[in-house]
Amino acid sequence: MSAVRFSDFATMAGRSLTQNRTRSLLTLLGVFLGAFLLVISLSVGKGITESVERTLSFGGKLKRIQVYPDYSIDPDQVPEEDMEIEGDVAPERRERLRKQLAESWRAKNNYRPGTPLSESLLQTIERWERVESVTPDIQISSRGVHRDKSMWGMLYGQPAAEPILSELIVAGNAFDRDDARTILVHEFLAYEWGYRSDEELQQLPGQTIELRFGGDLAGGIAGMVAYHRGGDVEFTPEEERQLAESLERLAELVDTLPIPEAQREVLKKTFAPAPDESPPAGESFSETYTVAGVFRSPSEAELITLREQWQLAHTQFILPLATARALAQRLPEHRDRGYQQVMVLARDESDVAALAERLRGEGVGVHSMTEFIEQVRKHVTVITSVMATLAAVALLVAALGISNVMAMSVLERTREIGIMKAVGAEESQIQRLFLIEGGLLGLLGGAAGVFCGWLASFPGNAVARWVLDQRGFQEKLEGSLFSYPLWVVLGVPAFAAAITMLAAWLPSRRAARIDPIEALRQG
Amino acid sequence: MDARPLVSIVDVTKIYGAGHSEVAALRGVSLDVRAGEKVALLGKSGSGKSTLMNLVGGLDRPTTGSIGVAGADLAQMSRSELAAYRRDRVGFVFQAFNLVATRTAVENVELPLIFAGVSPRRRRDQATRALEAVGLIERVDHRPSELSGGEQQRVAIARALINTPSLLLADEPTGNLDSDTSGQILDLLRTHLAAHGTTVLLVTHDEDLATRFADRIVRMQDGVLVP
Repeated sequence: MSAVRFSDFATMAGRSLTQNRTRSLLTLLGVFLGAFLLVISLSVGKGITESVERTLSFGGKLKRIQVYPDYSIDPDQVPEEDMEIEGDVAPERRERLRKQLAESWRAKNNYRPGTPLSESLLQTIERWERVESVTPDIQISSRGVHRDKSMWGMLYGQPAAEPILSELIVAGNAFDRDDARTILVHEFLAYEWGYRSDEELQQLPGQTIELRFGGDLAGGIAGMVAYHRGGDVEFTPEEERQLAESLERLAELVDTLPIPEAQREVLKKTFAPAPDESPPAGESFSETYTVAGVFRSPSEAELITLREQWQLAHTQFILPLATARALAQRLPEHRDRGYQQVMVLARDESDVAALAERLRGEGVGVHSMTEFIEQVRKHVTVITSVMATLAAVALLVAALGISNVMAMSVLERTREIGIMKAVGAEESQIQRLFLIEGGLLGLLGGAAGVFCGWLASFPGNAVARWVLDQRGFQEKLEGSLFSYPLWVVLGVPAFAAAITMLAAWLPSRRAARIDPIEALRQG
Repeated sequence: MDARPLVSIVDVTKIYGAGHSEVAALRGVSLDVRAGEKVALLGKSGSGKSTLMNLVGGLDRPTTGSIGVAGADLAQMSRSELAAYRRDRVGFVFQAFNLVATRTAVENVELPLIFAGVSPRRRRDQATRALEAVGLIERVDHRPSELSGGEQQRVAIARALINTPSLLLADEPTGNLDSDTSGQILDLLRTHLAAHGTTVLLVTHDEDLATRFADRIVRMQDGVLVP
């Protein structure tokens, strides 16, 4: 076959399309609508996924892995006598009930399967490659003693580098080192300790505070009463000692009180002195820290962005993380049971999946935003696929129209085809001419669809945001909800062209097979 | 004049249809045409003269027999080879002109060159010169509907000769023209054919035209040549 230039084919095809403008435009409109829908659905799917990723990766959130002890229990670990189900029960329900029985057995026996998040495990994880940092969630109930007044409070460990801390400081400074022996005190406690005016508040940084920990029942009660009464009730250290002694006596006096047996039992249980063999659980100790600064609770708006650090809203003391970790090791419930939750920060977002898998291998529970995003992506992909399929069907319908129109066009141009054959056009050349004509329709309609899809994304984005606002979504999605990757911009016109060329196949075949003698006899 | 036969038709039959609806358009035709010879196929409508011309032009294949043109047997050629043969060796002039209505004069003339893969610039040059040679340089960008019958046929002649074919097949080329115009067209053909030594097969029912134009007249009747 002699080589007809592609540009000649394209020119001839373009000429034949402009010959019948109305018909070409109507056919184009069908292709355009299909391509438009396809572009919109693909770009929205891609755009939403990217937008969610952008929003969630803000502030390195995607690098975080939440680790917690895996308490799920295998029913086989539970003694069989505690797992018996009475009555005639369907197998599915039996299975559900057995799961519940195992769980309640676990809770009753305070049995903790799986690996505890111990300090030594944390130190192992810290040495792993691709781990940036490991931050345990440390919350310790304690009493702060200052100016002869004891105040109960929750103590929270925070890395010195945590940027939110300096924002919450109202007097003094945040920490400069993770292992500093300094402390941040909540402004309300400062107020209760007598630092009332703004000027007085500035006096607190630099002072020392004694924190008391451990099983001192009287101290605990005194601190909590003082805290919950908002400072109306105060206990001096001497009063606390008296309270402790009276509580011990109370345990002995319970037997003589004229109250029902059940109430006697519960009082005994509450006030009985700790048995001698139970220390160090019952042991108490205290530590002294210098106040670095005074902090306020985060606002509602700040809490939305903090999310993982919601504890900051319920905390009275903040210690530097390393100091808090060392402290936790002196408290039996932390030392033996491990931390309740640990945040592992990966070096990079791409390390998260592998790290999560490795952590699971250690027998702990894992949750990461990356996995959450994977879920979002899955959902969006399903929705996008459905939309894209519908759009592709629209394109297919348009292609059927093209098939029809081109079959007509072949009939109308029979004589012209005959002439072309008489002057030496080969069958394959004629066929290619019509295929290119069909492809051109797809390409033009597809390109117009991409362009108009892009134009429509501006109002579309505004409308989508307005809808999200109306529904009360507080989280602002970052960037456009429409995304136009190169594969969409080039792929949609190419796909449309492929479909329309397919539609042109049969008519082009017919054109190629036209008998020139018959064709020339017409007219 | 070269004495070797350019076209050698041997015992050609052409049967259309099958069974009861079978029609024999040609029933054993043998004919030699020498290179440079101008032969007129004279016959009434339905005599088979156009069928024979279509076979020689490679637009169709004989049912039996062979048609040799410059040593190659058309009956043995593939469809694609036949197309190349029509493009490179043959020029057609039809009674109905058969110009593409949507193309201008020059675009019609350059049509064969498109399928030969000639560059746009070269074929435009060639086509323009061909139109100049048939006296239509003023009408280059006119569409067929804007041209008279004689002008249209001149465009068709320019197109038929653009590839300098060795064989020109003309089917009633003056059938749609008045006698004055017919004369001009015949003069034009004669001049150009003489310049290139082109062989011509003229199909007509017009005895006068055949006599005026051809070196030799071959008469056809009911699908056979008659002496």
